[in-house]
Amino acid sequence: MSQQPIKGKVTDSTGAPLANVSVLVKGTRNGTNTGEDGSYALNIQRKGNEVLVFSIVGYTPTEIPAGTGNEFNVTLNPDDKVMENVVVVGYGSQRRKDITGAISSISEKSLREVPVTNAPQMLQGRAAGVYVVNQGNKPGAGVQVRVRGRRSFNAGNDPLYVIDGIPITGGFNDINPNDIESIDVLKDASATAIYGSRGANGVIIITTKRGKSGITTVNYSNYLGVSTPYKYADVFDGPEYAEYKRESRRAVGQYIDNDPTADEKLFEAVELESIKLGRSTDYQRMMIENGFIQNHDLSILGGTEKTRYNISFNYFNEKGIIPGQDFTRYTTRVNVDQGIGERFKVGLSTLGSYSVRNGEDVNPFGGALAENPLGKAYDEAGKLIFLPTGDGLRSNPLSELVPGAVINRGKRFRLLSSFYGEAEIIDGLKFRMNFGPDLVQNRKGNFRGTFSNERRLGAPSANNSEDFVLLYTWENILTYKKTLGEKHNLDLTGLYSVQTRNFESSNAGVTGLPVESLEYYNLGQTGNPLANTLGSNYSKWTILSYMGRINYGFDGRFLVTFTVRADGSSKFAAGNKWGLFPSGAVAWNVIEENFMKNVGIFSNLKIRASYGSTGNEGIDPYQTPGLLSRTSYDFDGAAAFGYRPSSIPNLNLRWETTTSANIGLDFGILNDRINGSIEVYRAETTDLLLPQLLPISTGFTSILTNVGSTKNSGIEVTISSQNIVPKKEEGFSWTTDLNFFSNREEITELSLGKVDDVGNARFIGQPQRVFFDFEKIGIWQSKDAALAQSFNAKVGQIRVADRNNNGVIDPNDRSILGTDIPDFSGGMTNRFGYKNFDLSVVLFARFGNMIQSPLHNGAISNLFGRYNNFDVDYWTLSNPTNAYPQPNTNQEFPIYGSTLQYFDGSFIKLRSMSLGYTFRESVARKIRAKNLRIYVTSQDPLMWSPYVRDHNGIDPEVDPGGNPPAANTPLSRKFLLGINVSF
Amino acid sequence: MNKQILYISLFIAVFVSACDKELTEDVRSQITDDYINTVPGFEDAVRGSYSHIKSFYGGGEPGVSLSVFGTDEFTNGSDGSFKSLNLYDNGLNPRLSVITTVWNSLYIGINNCNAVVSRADNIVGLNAAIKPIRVGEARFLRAYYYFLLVQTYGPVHISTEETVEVMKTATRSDIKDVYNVIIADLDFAVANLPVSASNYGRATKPAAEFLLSKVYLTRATTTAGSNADYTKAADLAKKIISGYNFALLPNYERIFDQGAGEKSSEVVWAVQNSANLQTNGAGNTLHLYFIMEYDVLPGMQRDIVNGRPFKRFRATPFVLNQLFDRANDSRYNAVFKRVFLANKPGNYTIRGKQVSLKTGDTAIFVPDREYTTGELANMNYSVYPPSLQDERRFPTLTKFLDRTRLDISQESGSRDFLVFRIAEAYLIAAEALMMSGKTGEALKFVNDVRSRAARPGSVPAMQVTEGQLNIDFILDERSREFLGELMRWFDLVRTKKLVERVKKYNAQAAVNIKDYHILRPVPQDQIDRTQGSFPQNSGY
Repeated sequence: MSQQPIKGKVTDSTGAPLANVSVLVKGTRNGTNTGEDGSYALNIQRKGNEVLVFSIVGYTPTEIPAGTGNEFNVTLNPDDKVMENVVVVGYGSQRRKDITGAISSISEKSLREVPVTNAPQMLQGRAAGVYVVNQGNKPGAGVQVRVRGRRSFNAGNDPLYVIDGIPITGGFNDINPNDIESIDVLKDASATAIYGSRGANGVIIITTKRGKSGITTVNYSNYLGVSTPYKYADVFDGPEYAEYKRESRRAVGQYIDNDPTADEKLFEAVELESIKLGRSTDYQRMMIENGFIQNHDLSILGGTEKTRYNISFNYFNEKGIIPGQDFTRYTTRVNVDQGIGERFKVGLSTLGSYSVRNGEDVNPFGGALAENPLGKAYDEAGKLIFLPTGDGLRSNPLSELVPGAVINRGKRFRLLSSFYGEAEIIDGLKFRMNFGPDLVQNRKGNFRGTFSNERRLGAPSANNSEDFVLLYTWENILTYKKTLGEKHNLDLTGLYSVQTRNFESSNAGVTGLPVESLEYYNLGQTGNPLANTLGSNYSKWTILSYMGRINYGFDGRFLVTFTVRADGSSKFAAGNKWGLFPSGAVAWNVIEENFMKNVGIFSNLKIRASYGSTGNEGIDPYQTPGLLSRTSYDFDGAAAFGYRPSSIPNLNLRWETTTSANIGLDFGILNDRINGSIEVYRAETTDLLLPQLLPISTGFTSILTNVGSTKNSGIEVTISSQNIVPKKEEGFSWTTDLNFFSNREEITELSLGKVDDVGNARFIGQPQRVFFDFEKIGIWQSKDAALAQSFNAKVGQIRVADRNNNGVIDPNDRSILGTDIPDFSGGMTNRFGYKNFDLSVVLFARFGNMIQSPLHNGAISNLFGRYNNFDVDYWTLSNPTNAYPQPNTNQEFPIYGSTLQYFDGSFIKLRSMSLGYTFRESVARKIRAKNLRIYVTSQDPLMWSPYVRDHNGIDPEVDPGGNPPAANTPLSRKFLLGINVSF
Repeated sequence: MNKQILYISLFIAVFVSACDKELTEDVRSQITDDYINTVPGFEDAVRGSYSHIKSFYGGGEPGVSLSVFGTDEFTNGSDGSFKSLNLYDNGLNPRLSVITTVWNSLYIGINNCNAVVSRADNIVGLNAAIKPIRVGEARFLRAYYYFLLVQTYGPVHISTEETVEVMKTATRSDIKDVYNVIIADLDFAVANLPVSASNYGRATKPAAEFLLSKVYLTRATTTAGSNADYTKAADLAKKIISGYNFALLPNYERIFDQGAGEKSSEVVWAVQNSANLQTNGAGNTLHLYFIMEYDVLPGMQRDIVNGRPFKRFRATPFVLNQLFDRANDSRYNAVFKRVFLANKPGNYTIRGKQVSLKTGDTAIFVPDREYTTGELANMNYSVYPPSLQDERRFPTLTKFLDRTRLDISQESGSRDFLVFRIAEAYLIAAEALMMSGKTGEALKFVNDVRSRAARPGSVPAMQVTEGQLNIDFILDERSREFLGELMRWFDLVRTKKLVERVKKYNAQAAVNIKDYHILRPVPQDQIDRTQGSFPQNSGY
């Protein structure tokens, strides 16, 4: 038996060479991969019955008996089940042409294009109807995902995430983005119905990479980069601040211009010195520095026919542009599939993740903006001055950055596993059991030293909190597939599942620590527990579900899906626990009809329609019984804790139900050069789980009830186009993926029927969140002094519209100023290729929404003459502007100041621009690699946003209304350099 | 194969039937409503009823802002978000947060009391002797909460039953009906509460009589009142003065001693606070608000003894210059601090002069007269005579200062708040008697209070005559005695002197105050959330 050389070339059906095809002698570990030109060479030991296996993702594996020849040229045919064409639909997968529901899929290629810091960001601008916005710019900040807008007020609008078949709570931030193979978003009722109660807000299915049989591949990739602030906020410098402060006193007659000692009376020594020297301290620029980001990934994939595995490791680290804010994540993933005999299969997926995040809940940035620029940050000896001015509230914002002064450290550990066993009982009938435990532990430590703004020379304080979540899903699935006759395809699925979530937490806080270096590591060193900071908590909920699904296809032309799901939730009282959610869908593959055979322009044409209902129970447990709150009092020093009623018993609480209809059209034109789909939908949510605000004279502020309904409708368009197809290999290519969507929300009924609920700012016919306030029409000018007086206002104050012209400003003059729903949003990805270069450009935009910016209604905007302020055009006698009111030291915030915080939230962001270069195989070989690519990426290099450009806004994308202003950290630009190599 | 299917079916059937009980809620970390139906739960609900009074008396700014600002006694300092209550400008509107906070906390308190009253008859095992006492406590507190409501907002919604289901309606009952509820509750409390309580701090019979006497005094000047109310108020006040062991402390200043002053013969009933951070909640925060900005001046830094200067309330010139006969009356010097001693030694420049301050040297002096340049030349410290006093620099009211806080940042103080002092019973008696024409009898009570306040040897000089007594004198005397003690705005409204005296003595407030300001606006939330109409007070 001698080694004999064999060789050959692998091509695709068009004759183009296929690189990286695995060539393996069946039953052995002997094999190789094809080169760039599709050729391979291999030595084999001949016994006579050798079989060569050629495989690569996206093509049907082909086996060739080696026989006696020594050259085997093989043509591989595309596999119908390549990722672009197979859609994971929940409890199974289907060919795209068999799909009846509205599903967006994001391919691995798109997912890889932009290096992201967390997995959900991969969805941004990539799928029509999926609205993803950043929740903040701090390292480690998450995103908010909405599929087809909001439906619910209180039961949550977060989609359900399913990772490798296991529904999870708490998002998928912990997943290493590089482990994800595909993301499918189920949008309409028919597609989500199988997840029943949990699917009302859409379902996002994440499939991670699994091993495949063939040669073991080792991939390594990394990127390194720096981040720089996108923009500095424009606040007053020293001289501007001085003048602003004078004006704030002039307004109330406390600053007399012709008094030569006026400045001395107003300013303190350090301020006077700064004014004299023309000195100005720019705390913002003293605080911000360049950030740093790095990511390393290592994965090993491989397997034999029976055993396949994928193991990966990831390290990610980001230091933000504000010192002390950083995020570090370590993840490992192990996926193993093992076949046992012909009919059994078992496997597991395990994600282990550990991350450390500093500075999540603190933000010295606001302090830097508000700090008096006439103060001095450092003394002559270069030491920080803790109180740069006499203002007792304003400690030096740079003191917060001193290591050990302010500690806010979160640690998170997660072990998310899924185990499955599958048995093919008879041909076509499969039983599968999934068990998915998800363990999450969070721990947070806080410390504030004496020299921190929070303590301001008080004794150090510290607290610890911890929580632990065990969520497990146990599913039993029976599927049966059968083709009857030639043309009838039947696919039946039955499911029984249990999902339970257990939550436990504890926390403790103290003040008066004797030594700062204790940080939060020994709370017992002081005898002063802080009130309300000693606690523990427990909650649990369970959902039981039964589901049945029938997929029937006739001749590949007509497809029908019918699903029924029954869910029982522990959160509702007896009698209301169960909800039944049916749905159905039909599709017609028009392209398969004979009459289409001669219509050459279309390569795909399908019409879909679905109708069905889903449920939502995403409320906290324990809402049905009346509960008590603890009260504290004492009798002569002896504790007298007590209880008071804090919620009204509510046994009628039941499922919130969304019924939706969807019509979709899939098309392919010019031999699939242009592909796309259009979806139109309308959803109605009834029995809204709505906190009904009560007149407080009842003793309660609100109660959660099922009242009212909302309507949701929209259109989504997705188009993929190959604009320029390369004439020859390595020629110029250009493709575009475009999606845009528009969603309308409308409240149709509230607790009193079709009556506006002004107290909650909810209005019939309007979206859920509207901005309801007075309307600023300018500033009261001197010429209107008498009129101003009649409105009880003064010249220089904000003038709001007297909408009902009754001569007084009263609550009836409030109106709806706007909504946070964009007119439309969308994303566009352009990819260019030439020779070994590839370039991708990702854009993300939204238009027509209003944002509420608390930054513009807080310390930095209150024109109080105390803190530093945004450099705004304020009113003075000699500058009769209509933009901002006169500074006034007698009011901590301007009257009607809330009217200054509403802005147009439209923006276009150039999310990323990435240029890559793939080395020729001959070069890669030199480092024994199969594949070598380097790239540079610029993230967020450009943005168009009137809010940022004209109004000192920080980032229009981060919903400021949903966050305390402390969450505002400036947007940064990132510049990354990366390398991908596989062996 | 069929066997396998059978096994799987059986397997599923077993699990399916086993799991249905999983859907029962497992409440552990929270306490459900039926706990109140047990004896310990009932007792806890009674204790809960007390906690709400802290939200008005010292728990943050709402109560003090609504009762101290915009009166003849105090005007605003430089800081704070509620100056509109002093300025009576357009910030004093139905959306002002403190207006809402007070309304909400009082109604939550009322529902807590209602739960006690409504459920008392159905508590299995509740001692029959204890029951009327606990119900009496809850009704005393409920009366107090309604009394604060009716004085602040005028006609308010009445509910005497616990809310057990969704209710969206509310009505503004005539103040006559509100007072009837208050008086019925207090009559019950007077009849059932013990003279001294099982735990110090619980409501007692004299406390209920005290409140009732104040209620009658107040009702007398309203549309619901009559002259008979004065008689009842006077009778009750006299009974408290002579019928129990309460007595005026010999030295006025000792009333405000932290610790000893909180529990003395002077105190009829006090809101309880303690140094235990766990029970104290927001505690008594009044120590924060009356302090001048001393901590930025040469030789000074913040410390616990001098306090955390929020500079909210600054005494009016009327209080500082006119109110007190300082030669004879001890009360001005007893409650105002005008000297700060250096706690940050070092070399400083003061009025252009280099000075060296040692710990304990005078660092700040806030005199009540002007000084000549020559006099100032000898003063090596900051001096703020009246002409230099402003919203940051002013004499500091010391009644509430809390020197036992753990650190300088701590806001929750531990001092009890003396709601009912026996001295007030004297002045209630005096006012009620005078208003019903018995000026001679009234005089004795006024002079008793003044005698106690006299500086050594000044008792004769402090005596006043019948001819001097009128409602303005009573108000002046109340101010001298109770300056800053969270009752002035109510006193001025009760005596119908608010607008007049504010215009006369509080320059900032004088500009905007109107007749309708004798009531606060009803919170916009209450109006917006009520099904049907819930009218606003006129003017707002």
